[in-house]
Amino acid sequence: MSEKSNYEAGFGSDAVKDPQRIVFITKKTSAQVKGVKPRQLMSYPHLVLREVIVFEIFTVALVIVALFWDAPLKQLADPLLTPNPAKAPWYFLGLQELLHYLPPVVAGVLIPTLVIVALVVIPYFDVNIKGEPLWASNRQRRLMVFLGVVAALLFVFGIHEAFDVVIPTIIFASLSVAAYFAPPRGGRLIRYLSGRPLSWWVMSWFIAVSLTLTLVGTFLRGPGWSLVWPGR
Amino acid sequence: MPAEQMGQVPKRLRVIYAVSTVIFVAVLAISPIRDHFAVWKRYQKRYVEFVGTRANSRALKADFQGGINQIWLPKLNVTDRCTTCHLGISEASLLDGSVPQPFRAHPPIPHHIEAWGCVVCHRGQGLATTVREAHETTLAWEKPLLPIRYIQASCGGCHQNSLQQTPRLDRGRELLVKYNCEGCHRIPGIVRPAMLGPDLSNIGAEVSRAWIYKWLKEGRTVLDSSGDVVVDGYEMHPRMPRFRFKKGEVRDLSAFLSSLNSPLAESSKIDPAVVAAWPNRAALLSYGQLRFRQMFCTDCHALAVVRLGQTELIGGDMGPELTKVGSKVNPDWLVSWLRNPQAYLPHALMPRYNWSDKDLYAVTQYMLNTFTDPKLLGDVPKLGPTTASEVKQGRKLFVAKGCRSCHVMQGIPPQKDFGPDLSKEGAKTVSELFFANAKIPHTLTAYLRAKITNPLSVDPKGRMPQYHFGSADLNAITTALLSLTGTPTNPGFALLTVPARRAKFDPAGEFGRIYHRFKCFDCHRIDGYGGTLAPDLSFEGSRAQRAWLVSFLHNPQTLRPTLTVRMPQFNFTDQQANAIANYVDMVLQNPSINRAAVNPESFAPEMASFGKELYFVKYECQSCHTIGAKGGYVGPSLTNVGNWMNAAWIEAWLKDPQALIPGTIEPHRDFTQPQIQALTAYLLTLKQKSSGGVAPLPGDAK
Amino acid sequence: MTYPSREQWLERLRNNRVWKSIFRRGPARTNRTRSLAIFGNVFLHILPVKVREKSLRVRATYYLGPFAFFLFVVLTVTGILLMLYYHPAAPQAYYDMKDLRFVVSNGVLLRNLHRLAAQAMVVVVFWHMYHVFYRGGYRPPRQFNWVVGVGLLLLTLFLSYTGYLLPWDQLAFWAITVGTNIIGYVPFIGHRVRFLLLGGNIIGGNALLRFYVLHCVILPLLAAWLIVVHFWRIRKDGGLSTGENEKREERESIETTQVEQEAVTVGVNDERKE
Repeated sequence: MSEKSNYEAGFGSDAVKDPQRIVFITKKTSAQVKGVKPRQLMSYPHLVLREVIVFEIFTVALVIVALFWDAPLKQLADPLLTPNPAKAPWYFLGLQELLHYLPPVVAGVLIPTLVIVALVVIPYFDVNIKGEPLWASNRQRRLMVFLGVVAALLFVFGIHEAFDVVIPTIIFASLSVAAYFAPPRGGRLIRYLSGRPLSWWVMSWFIAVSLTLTLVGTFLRGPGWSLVWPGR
Repeated sequence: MPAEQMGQVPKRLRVIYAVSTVIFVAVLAISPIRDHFAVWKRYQKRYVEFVGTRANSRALKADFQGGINQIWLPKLNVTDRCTTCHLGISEASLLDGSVPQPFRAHPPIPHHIEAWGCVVCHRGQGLATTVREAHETTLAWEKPLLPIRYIQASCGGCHQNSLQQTPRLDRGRELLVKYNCEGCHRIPGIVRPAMLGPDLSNIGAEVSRAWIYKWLKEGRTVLDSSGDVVVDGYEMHPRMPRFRFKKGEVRDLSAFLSSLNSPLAESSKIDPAVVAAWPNRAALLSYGQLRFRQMFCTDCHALAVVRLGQTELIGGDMGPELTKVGSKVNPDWLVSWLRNPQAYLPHALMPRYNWSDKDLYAVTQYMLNTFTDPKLLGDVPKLGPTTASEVKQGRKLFVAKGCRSCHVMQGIPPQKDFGPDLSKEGAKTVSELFFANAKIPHTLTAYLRAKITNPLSVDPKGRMPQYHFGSADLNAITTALLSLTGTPTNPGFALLTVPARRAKFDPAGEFGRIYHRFKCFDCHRIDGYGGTLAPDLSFEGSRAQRAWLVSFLHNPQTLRPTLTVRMPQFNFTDQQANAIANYVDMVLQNPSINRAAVNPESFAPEMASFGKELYFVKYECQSCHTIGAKGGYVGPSLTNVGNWMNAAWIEAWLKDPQALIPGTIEPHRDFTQPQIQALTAYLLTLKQKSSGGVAPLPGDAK
Repeated sequence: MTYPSREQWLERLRNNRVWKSIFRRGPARTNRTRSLAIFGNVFLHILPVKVREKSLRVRATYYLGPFAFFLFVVLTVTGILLMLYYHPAAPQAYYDMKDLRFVVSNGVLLRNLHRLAAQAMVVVVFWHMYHVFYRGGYRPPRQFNWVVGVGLLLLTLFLSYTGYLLPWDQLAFWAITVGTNIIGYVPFIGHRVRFLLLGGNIIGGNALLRFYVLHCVILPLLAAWLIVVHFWRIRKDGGLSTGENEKREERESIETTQVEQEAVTVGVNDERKE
């Protein structure tokens, strides 16, 4: 398997059958693929049995939680009695939190649309197919652009006093810059971070911000959307 | 991997599969098992066991129906499953206190449980089948069970009139009116009068700035129940509540109010000849005291009297207490006021008496010189001259503190609804209430009680003044507030609402003018409107003979010697007395009494002697009524009843007293018709010799 | 008398005529019959006959995809049972919640389970997406399946959101009010879309009915359709991504000559002739 003569190169005729191999073909040379035959198992019973087990375990967990946690129910809907604050379902509270800071067209329409579009186009626009770390090359230029973008973000959210966007952004920017300046043989975390590509940074930042917004919106917002401590 | 191994499943996976399947099935069985042991099923089991120990267990068991029981009344939006556990609720044999709850029967009430359900009155969540959720506040149900001490509130939701069964509610409603709650709050059923507190437009002419300062600063210690000055605060519950003024605010307000000082509309001049006519001061004051007593001023005004070291208030509470009025008011103002109270306060309750200058001078001098306390204003600091900025600031405060809610003030428009609307206060849910940091249960009843006891406890920035209620009154007011549930959302209830009778008796013409001038309605009730201090006059024309009325009006003598309250000497002119008598005679009639039907002339003398025997021997009427000096003091004196009452009235009265005056204590005896006639004949013979010297008036047919 | 052993008993059962008419393939003891078990079954044949051992490992997927699907199944089952007790009318809908809580057998569990599974599904679907992203599962040739996944994420949110109104309590009413007000901010068409969604300008009986139909019919059908496509594409795109992205240094698959800028990617056949 490890001998070179075993390699075959060329376009497959049946790309769908086992297309996980990626071949980089250049103008000058033909591609060489080192094929691997992975260990395979029969779906029946291996996959089916596992899925049944997983289904049972998940269902048991769900039922046990459902036995002790009651679905919330408040009073009969009354259009004349506005609760303060009126909150959306928790998964939209990040958005509602943004609405508190930004104009509604931006927070309620523009940003969600952009997020959805961004998610859809990810597979078509990921040019860094090799997953090259962010600070692997072009370091200085990239740092400039990176800091510029971070500064712009901080400025936009800063003037709206959106602390729960600003804080995770600062943390992520700091980590990224730390990875930039880190010695090549730093600790495990530093090594891990310096190995991350740009897409990792963007997605992680997005998750951190949306998580922070959602948590703050869910637990720290009281009457008039003011900050309160949970449990009061 | 060899092909033959591709399908082999390791044993470990098989074991996991077996275990997870068993757990899966077991966990799915938990919920049905839990349902099987629901709490209401336990109660039903216990009920069946309990019923077995009762004497009538067979009948009770026959009535028992297992499973979820519910009263379903779609028209009232009622689905009450209370009877799932309260199984004996309509079993008359389970009424006694030894029956354990939740099986005890409901005490008998006019409304049948099958027709009304439970939560209509008791609140709580009728849909629930667990103990906590049925009775308590939960996120899903914010109208918990009404504590039983407030249960009359539920009667008040529909019955806006007073009921025999709801004394607490009625008391609460009275208190709401008495303490002028409608000054700041909208309360359905209470009409906001034009004036609640006194009109302050010219208050500077009545009292000094120092007095106003004292009043505002220590309202409670200088107030009596009707909102006027007493020095030591004999009454616990002043009508003007205690506001939380700061020192500077009292200073500014007193400056503003004392600056309102314009000339009095009614003259305060006394004819100098009248003044000069008095030989000495002692004679003047003693005559003043005599007239003060004869006018029965204490019917409405109280005086503090020290007896055996104890201070007591003697007198009525309709008008202000007068113990220290001499140190309060401006002498000129007092004269002007007594001449024509309505000239100073258009809405004053005080009647406009027909004073002679002599009486007026003597009475005012008596009051100003006797009812005094030189130390009254002793602790008021030196206020100095009133400055323009104080006045300006005081005027602002007058508006900001809501004074204009109760006090009329010329140039400042009155304010309605300074406080929250209370129309639906009793239907509020917990999430609509703010408890601040009050350590009380988060329920509407606890909130209302806390708010009335100490408004700041649930709202540190609140504007509501401080009241001082006893526990019974707190319960009553809370009950009355809880009864304010707003217009029922369900049309079924809206139709059931019983409105209170609130027609205002307001006669026109000559009698109307007299009625308003002398404020008859302060004390007398006519057609359901007016005070209760004096007899209800709705059917006075059927009862009293016209000639007697005229003579009574000229010289009112008490018919009930034990009562200290008597009708004052109004000094009616003949014309006024006749106008009143005419109106009473013609209009205030009971349609069921035909005066012409009973002719006193037809009574034979032996009937009267039979009646006398009945009176003294058989029925012993003398135990309650006096004739001359003999007899009991429970009922009115009958000494002059032959001149006083109409024969037809006496007959009707003897037949059924409660039909004429509901609730009267006169016993309802089953007299036969001959007995009634005999008694009437006897009573009509009881005539006093004319003492007032009032001749029968022209035009008097009798 | 001797009882038949388990094996004998099973053997008898399998030789039964009725059994044979249902399961034609016989015991799955050979790879052939095991394959038949998959593609002879209308539901299972969406699965491949063989799977890579690697992709079965828990750490490869944490079974997030199956979890999301199982939640969908639980939601469908509990949802259909709940529909038996539910009237999409105000205020009857609210009283149906009370009935579920207080008088319907296992009604509490039914509603709790539905609510919990709905919340869990939102979490799991997001988690699934992030996991796929970090493992590079969106890379070619799986681009389209990623897009289908994004569609399923949105459907999950819409399903959860439309279901939120159905209890017709204060929580539901005001959460939906807040949410639908955001739609109104969309320039030009916002108010029309909102009107269309609510069947009026405010949330009332019409909105409840529309949300009910969306929640119980339209959105579940769309979701089921996309789920089938999603599963089918996993198979057609060559099975689960095994996460090359994660452990780049261990990759043993590719040895390239010089890589230049205009690299393109293609799938190739690595079926070797051995």
